[in-house]
Amino acid sequence: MSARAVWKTYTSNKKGVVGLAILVFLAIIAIFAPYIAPYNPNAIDPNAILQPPSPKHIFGTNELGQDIFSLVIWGSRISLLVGFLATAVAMVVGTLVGIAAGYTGGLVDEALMRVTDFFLVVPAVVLAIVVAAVLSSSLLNVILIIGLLSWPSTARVVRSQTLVIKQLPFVEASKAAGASSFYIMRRHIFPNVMPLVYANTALTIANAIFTQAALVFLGVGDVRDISWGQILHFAYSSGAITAGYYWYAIPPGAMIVVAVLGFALTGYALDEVFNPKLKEGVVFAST
Amino acid sequence: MGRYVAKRAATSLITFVATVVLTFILFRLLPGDPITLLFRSPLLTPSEINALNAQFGLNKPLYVQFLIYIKNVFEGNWGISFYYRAPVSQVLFPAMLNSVILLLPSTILAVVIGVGLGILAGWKRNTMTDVGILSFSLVLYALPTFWLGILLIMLAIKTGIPVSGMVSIGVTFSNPWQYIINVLKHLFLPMITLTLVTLGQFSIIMRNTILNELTEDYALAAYSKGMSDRRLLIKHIVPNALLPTVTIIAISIGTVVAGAVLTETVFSWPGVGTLIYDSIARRDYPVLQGAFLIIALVVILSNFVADVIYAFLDPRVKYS
Amino acid sequence: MRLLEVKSLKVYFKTQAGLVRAVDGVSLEIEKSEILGLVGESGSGKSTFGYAVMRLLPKNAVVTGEIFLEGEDLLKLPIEKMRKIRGEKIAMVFQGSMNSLNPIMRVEDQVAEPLIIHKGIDEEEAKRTARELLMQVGVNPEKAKSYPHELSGGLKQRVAIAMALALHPALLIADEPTTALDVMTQAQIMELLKTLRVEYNMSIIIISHDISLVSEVADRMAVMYAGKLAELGPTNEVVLKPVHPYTQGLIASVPKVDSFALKPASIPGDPPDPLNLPSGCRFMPRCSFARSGCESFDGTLFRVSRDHLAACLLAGERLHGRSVG
Repeated sequence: MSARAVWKTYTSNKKGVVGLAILVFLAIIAIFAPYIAPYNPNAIDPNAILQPPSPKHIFGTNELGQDIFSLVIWGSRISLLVGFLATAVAMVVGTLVGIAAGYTGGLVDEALMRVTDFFLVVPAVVLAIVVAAVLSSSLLNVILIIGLLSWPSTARVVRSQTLVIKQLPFVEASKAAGASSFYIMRRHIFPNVMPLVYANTALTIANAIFTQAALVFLGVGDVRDISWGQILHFAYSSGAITAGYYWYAIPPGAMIVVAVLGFALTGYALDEVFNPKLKEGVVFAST
Repeated sequence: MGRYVAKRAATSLITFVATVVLTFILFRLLPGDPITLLFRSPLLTPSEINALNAQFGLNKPLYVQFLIYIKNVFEGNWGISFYYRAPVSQVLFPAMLNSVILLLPSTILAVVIGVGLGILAGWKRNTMTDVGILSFSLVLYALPTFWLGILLIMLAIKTGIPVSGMVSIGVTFSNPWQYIINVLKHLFLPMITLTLVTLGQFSIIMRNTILNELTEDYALAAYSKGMSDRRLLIKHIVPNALLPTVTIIAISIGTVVAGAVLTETVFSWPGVGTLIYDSIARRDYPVLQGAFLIIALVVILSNFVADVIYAFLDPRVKYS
Repeated sequence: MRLLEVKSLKVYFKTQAGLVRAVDGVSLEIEKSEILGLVGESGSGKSTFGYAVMRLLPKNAVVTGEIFLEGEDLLKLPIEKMRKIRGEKIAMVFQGSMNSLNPIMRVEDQVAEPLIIHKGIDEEEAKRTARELLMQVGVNPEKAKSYPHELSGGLKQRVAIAMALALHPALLIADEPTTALDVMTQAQIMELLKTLRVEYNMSIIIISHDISLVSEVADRMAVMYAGKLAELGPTNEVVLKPVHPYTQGLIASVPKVDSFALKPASIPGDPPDPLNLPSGCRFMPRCSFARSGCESFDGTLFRVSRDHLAACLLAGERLHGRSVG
């Protein structure tokens, strides 16, 4: 499909438009954080501890007197960044494994599928928690862990599409003309598999954002970088929740919901655009 | 059908073995190997260290350690908790029970409500009902488990519904009923949390499955027999739609368990999830390893059981 | 009174790409106990015609015209009444390659279903009747409790036929009933339809792209092209003395055992894009007899003989006594 056709179909899809709007909104917040946030998020103000929302602090302050609105704005950076980078890792690994497994078949396929099954069966979040607990909780580790736990769902999707493409006449023709496996995988399989991956990418990002928030909330991820999960972590551990300081907990969580929704809706819409024969949508793979 | 079940059993076994191996690698071979660290742990007495040494064979070559490890796992000897000074299995068992008390009703409720809503949405597709249910389910799916828990805590604080633990501390109960009611009160919020975050995805899955079935050829053929919409739905579409749904719900068991882990930590419900959280803080690695293994085992087993149930329900598999 | 009278039926589909004129003004009649062969290429609108009679069209379909079944206009009926007619008065058998059987329901249950729905017959008795029906169409009673995936393509199609016959409908619409079946089975199914017509005193519309196959069974033939009727008449007249160049092309393209041709003849070109239909005769771009007047020809049917009609100026010329090359 040409880029124009894709755009036209996508914009006629209500979910897609809403999802895209959310993504644009998030991008603006993250990129222009320094200009949007009224305060330095790290600035402590001992005189304004745990203040409810007011004109001075739209979302109130936390137990260190920090402005929650600014924290939430700045938090978007890490939350989204981890989401993207982890997904990038997952996409690369997943696509490679999926194409290799689907195209090669046989024992290689079986072996790779067993590995994929393992990751799909064992709850990723739990695995992430345990791994992050044993290793150190640096940002890089968190990205790698989430990425390495997300690739299996991509691999599965890529593999099934590869199996379909593999049977198509033009691949047969290419083989008959003497093309090497690598060439076929690169020139024929890969471009035809990519559209399917777009939808999966969006959903993976949604999952990654969620997982990062969960890890940081539990204290297993790095709690020094400002992220939505990190804000919630301190909201909980400082006792602000049980004390009823709602303004501390609602904004960061709401942002997570908005971000996950944005990517999920986009993912659904992309799937409908690139897979119209699925008629009314996809069964998503949750990691 | 026998062949199918056998194949799935083999796959499940392989997956479990892989989990066991992975756990070994994780806890022994990685830098900062926790087990060898414990030699220097001030928490243990010399006799305990010796016992551990004998048990894990830490001064023997690595592959021997691995074999000892495998033997221990399958014998149920999962080590000694650093913190509790008791066998890990002893620590795990009550936690597992508590987790089941939370998981079972939540999952059942989530399936019943989720599937029901999904059928309704698929049936009345593209109407306001459908859009409403779909939006509701999407929001639930996007809701972070722990955040919902936090919100419910804040809402409930004023009402006196317990927000932490499984049973009120320092209270004596004059009869078992009072105890049960007390536990149920504590179960209320975590159960609602877990049910809500889970039912969203079940509802979406069921809706999509129904829609897919409605586009199948046999649905058209059924209409040509003069069938009413209702009969088509109840006698044809839903039974066909339940099959893939069973599979997918089974695959989601992992997600449900993950959700349970997060829910437990927020509400301090004394299940395996809280155990994991606490043992991370306490650096109680044997318990952490044991908890992880048991979760993996339960999920793998549930998937296998679900596969068998599916094989039983689908005549295409049953009679092949 | 005729069994079925279709008057100026038009079925248009509203799509994102535009309006698809699948059926563009088709009129025909069917008598009781008559077999009509409705043939054409894919995209000619023949299947859509069949679905329209059953009112089984998707939501984006716009239908105009009249379809009289024993005097009653089906298109004006409320859906409840139409449901009663489906299965009871008109039944449909779908393409052999389709999965028209519910994969998780036993075959006899599915054949029994119309009886339960329409006549409220109790389950056990309905199943007994179902088994008899299955026997009639050549399905062994021991297969009655099978699931569809356990049966061959030919058997599945027989089951579908039994399912359609359950209530002795006056009209059976068979949409490509033998596609995806091997040649032997194709012949058997056709024979079965012939027998059933006599036994059940039933009319059958056989929709197919295979003119030679249908011509062996049908009393009359209707040839459709690009949504309109090209030719209509008794089988032997249409097949042996086709007037419309399209029909001639179809007949000529059937490979003959005794011909010496190295390549099977085929009609050059492609059918027109249903989104972008040409004005005038729709076959003109591919017609070797095209002449002036064709580009403004609106497709009216000329009478070639008493029962034989063709939508072609050639027929018109013949009418006026002019000989055609």
